[in-house]
Amino acid sequence: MGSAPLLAVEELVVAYQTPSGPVRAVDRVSFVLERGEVLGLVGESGSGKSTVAQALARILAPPAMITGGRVLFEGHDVLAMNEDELRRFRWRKMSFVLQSAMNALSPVLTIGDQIIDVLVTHERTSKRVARERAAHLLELVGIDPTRLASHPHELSGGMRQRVGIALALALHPPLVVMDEPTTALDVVVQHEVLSKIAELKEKLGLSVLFITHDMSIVSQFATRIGVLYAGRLVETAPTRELFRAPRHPYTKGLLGSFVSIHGPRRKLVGIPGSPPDLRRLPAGCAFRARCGEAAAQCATEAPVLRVIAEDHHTACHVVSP
Amino acid sequence: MGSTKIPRKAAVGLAILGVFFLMALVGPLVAPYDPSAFVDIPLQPPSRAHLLGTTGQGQDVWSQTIAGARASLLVGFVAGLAMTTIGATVGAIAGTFGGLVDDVLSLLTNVSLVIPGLPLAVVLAAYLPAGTRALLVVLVATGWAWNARVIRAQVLSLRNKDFVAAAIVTGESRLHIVFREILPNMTSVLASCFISATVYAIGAQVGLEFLGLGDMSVVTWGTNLYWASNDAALLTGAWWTLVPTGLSVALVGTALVLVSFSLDEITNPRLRAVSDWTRALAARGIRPGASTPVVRDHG
Amino acid sequence: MRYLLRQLGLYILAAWASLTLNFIVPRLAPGDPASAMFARYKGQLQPEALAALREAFGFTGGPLHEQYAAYLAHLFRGDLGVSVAYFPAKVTDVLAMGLGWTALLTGSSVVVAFALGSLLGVIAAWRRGGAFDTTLPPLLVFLGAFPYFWLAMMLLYGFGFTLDVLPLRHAYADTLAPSLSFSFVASVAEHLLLPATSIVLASVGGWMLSMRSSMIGVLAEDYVTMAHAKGLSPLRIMFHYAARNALLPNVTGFGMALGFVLGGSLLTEIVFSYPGQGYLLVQAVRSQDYPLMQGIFLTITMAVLAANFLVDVLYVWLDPRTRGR
Ligand SMILES: Nc1ncnc2c1ncn2[C@@H]1O[C@H](COP(=O)(O)OP(=O)(O)O)[C@@H](O)[C@H]1O
Ligand code: SF4
Ligand SMILES: [Mg+2]
Repeated sequence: MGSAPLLAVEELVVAYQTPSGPVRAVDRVSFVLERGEVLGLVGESGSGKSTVAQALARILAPPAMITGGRVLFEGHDVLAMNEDELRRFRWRKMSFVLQSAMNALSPVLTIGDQIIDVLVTHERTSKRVARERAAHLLELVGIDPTRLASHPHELSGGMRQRVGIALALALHPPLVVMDEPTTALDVVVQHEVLSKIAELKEKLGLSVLFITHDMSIVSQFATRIGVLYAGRLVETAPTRELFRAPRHPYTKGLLGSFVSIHGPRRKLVGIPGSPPDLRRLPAGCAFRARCGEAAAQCATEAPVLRVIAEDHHTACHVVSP
Repeated sequence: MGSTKIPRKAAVGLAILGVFFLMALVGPLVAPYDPSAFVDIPLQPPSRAHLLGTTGQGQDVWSQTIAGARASLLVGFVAGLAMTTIGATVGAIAGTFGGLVDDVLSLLTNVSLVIPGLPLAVVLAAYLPAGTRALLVVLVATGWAWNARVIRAQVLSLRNKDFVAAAIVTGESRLHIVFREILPNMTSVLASCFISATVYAIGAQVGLEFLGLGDMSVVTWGTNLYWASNDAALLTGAWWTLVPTGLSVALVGTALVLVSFSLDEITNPRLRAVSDWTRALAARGIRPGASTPVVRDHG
Repeated sequence: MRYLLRQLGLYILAAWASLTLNFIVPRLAPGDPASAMFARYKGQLQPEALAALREAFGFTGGPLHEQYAAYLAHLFRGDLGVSVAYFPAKVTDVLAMGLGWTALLTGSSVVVAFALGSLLGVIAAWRRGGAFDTTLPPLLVFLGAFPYFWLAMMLLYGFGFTLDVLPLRHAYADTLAPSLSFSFVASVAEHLLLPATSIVLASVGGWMLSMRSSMIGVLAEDYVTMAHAKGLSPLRIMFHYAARNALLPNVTGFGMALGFVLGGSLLTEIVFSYPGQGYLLVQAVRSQDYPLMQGIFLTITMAVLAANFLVDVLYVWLDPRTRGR
């Protein structure tokens, strides 16, 4: 299957069990990520970004369940793998950098322990060799190897996040999923971590699924962007195209509140109203209550992704090719 | 899966409690014998005449168990209420006022927590005149601190909530904030504090009386066990003098804990989500493993 | 190390508070029970012994602060008066007989109950909502709702009396003299089994529940998700990542619960005539031996405070975050 894309997600559905029944947090999401590409996944908090990311490796904790779709990695369906296959797939093929590095590292284990155990588990190297490799990894992200003996609370937020990146690179996986890797950091450190990621991506030829709620960050990084709203993809396009000609009213709202990379930064607050309650999704388009362009059809019929230009998909009734 | 219906655990717990309350309330009216009177040959096993047999003193065990319910539940609930009141007051004041007040009250609470309860209770009970009032004092003195600690922690987490901040901004007095804004907003925590305090009080009371502290002439669950053990119930094989009372204590304790579990689940619905999840998977023949399950519903 | 110093301060304060309570209670109780006590002892004790007892309790007739000073002075010399029940033995000597046995029984059963309960809690939380998790906790809650001594009596009745497979009373066979011989140690272990089992049965449920709820919190943490993502084995995630963190609040709770479990284990000693502090306590209550009761209160309090401090040291070792502070 040499021609298969690195990652192809087809009609993925994820539900959480709640006291009022199962709730679809991710609804029929499909996208493709080619080798060497950086796919940006953008959306407000609660739109289902982390749920998509963790479903890819099936590491969502209870009460989550995947209720439909396929996740094809190099042509193999992750959703069909058994526990052994999954364990071998994880981290070797797909690694993660999680939002808050403070919580992504266990506070009672040393940095070294947490890098070494992944090497020992997957590569069956001796502890000594693993320790040397771990030291190299820290050097790669610009951290003194003596820090292997430190505990997470002894490092600054930026350093922890770089440790997280070093950890993600430990097995040279083809794909790294970065879930808001800089959100918990202040602006200067954020910049520092982002340039490190950019540098390593070039050097190592990584593919990245880059998740953020910050349009300005994703514009620097991503080759393509997918916009998520209430668990559904509402628009996908190459980054340039999306910034030049956004079509979905939600994307337009996001970009309207985004000034420029060089101008003052703003958070995604530009759209009035708030995301719908997933437990009581309205019939028709989930964005309708906040949409300035809604038509009659929007109240009854849910829009689906359609091709509206080359490599540009939008799910909106009023948008036509 | 309605969230309004009473959870099964709570239903079981409340049903058991109901039975014992009824027993405490009307039991003495329907009890066949005077619980402290010599009514038959001692140490008879359960029979038609004596449903649960007779004690070493020739008393009717069933009548004693009923009488014990009244005395022990009354002391347990009154002590539980007192402990919750004191604990809530101390904890809420410490948490709301902060600063020196908090330091002093927290220190008092922690000191009180690390001093082992039973030995202190023994010393107190030995010096106080035997009786219900002394028993209550002893139970409350040794048991209030846990509640104070729990409630202080809860208040600290509530303090930053909007409605408290609003009250502070509008210049309400501190005590008004404690008793009008904070405590009414933590009924479920207060309820579970009351439950654990009552469980403690019933257990500690039984323990102290078993040691021979208190008024041994009154029929309670504790004195029942004291006399059973004094009359060498075990060596004579008279299990029926021990089992009804022990079982009653355990049933009441379990019922209270079940109610408290349900309170937790009601206030924290996410606790229940995972159980529902496991059940939903089981219904499809899936055993949860280490990875996110894939469930394909056709149709 | 500031954490340890602060805890040490708390224990010293608690020690002082219990010494002072021990002084105040006899004086504050209504009806002047202390005088009544001395009046009653008059017949039983020789005048010199009575005078010594008054001294030890600080009943010197002077103003309260002088009495307090006299009381403290005696206490720090290790003089807790003489026991009435074991007259003419000194209270300290009587206590010394029982301390080791209580430490053995309570210590071993508390450690076993904690370890077992924590393990069960880890497993229940890991397989949350599963068969194990839905059956065991209610069962153990029910078991834990029985008074400790009641479970002890049932075990005694079942295994000691009816089945006659284990000894009924005492800490070792009456035919043996304490020594380090195999037969003596075996006898001690045999005598320990039933009382320790009843304490474990009564207390294991509590540990299980608190470990379970602590685990449930930890399992939602990012570092556990991360451990899954790393493709580690379930056992490693469960113990190395989840349980190690979930244990921390339980260790803190261990110190607090120690005093409570000790109360239950003292009552268990009585059932088995196990010659520890609990057995002495019931003797003291029966013969209204106030000096012995108060001596037991003080020694047990000090032992619990010391154990709490050891737990704090353990905590610092387990949680690197406390080391810097
Ligand atoms: N354990 C859970 N139980 C129920 N709902 C959840 C749970 N975790 C997340 N959700 C819901 O799923 C949706 C998506 O969450 P998430 O993927 O974390 O969003 P994002 O990463 O975009 O902020 C949210 O509406 C959230 O409320
Ligand atoms: S489908 Fe209708 S409501 Fe939804 S975004 Fe498009 S125009 Fe707005
Ligand atoms: Mg997220």
